[in-house]
Amino acid sequence: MRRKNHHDGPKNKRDMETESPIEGSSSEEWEAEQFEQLVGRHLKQWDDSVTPEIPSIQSLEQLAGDQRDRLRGRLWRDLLLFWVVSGMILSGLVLLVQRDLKLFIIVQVVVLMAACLFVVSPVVRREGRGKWTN
Amino acid sequence: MDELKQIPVWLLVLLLIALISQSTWLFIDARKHSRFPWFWGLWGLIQVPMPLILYWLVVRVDRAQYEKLRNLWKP
Repeated sequence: MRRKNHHDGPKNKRDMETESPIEGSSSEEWEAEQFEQLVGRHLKQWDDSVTPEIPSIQSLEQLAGDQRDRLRGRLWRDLLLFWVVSGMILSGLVLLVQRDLKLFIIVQVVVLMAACLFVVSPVVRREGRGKWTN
Repeated sequence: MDELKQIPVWLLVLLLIALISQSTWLFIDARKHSRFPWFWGLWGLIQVPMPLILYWLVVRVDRAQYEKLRNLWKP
């Protein structure tokens, strides 16, 4: 009785399928089939055993509402701070105009030039739709 | 001071409203689209309308879309 020798070639089609890719089929398809045969059933069983908690629509709405309120509060806080600083700057500008109009014009020109330089600098050039922002 | 008295009061009030409105809008919009909302807001408080124009050109205009459209119209 002749023992089965591993050096022998595959005896049937099933052996051919499990041992090496069939000629003409892509290696990716063969690997996918192999993966499915070896691991697929166990993965499916594991997947079925896991039942994640699906949050209710009310909890999601609550989450979105809380975030919206937080953002609105932050906006109002920033706006109030901005208006306080704006009041101080505007008061300073009005006093400057009353004291010396020429100095006021010089300040305006300097601010315009500095702002334009800042805008064309590489730091700000990266801004724009589709680019990195806050 | 004399030059200031020549300017009508209503024009000064209008200018003040324009500056505050511009700076507030720039600050709020720049918080969503820019890394420098304070810069745009404060610049908008001091001058008008250059900050608005440059903000639109630098931050809001979609340059990639503009380049795409420009290439479409090329012969």
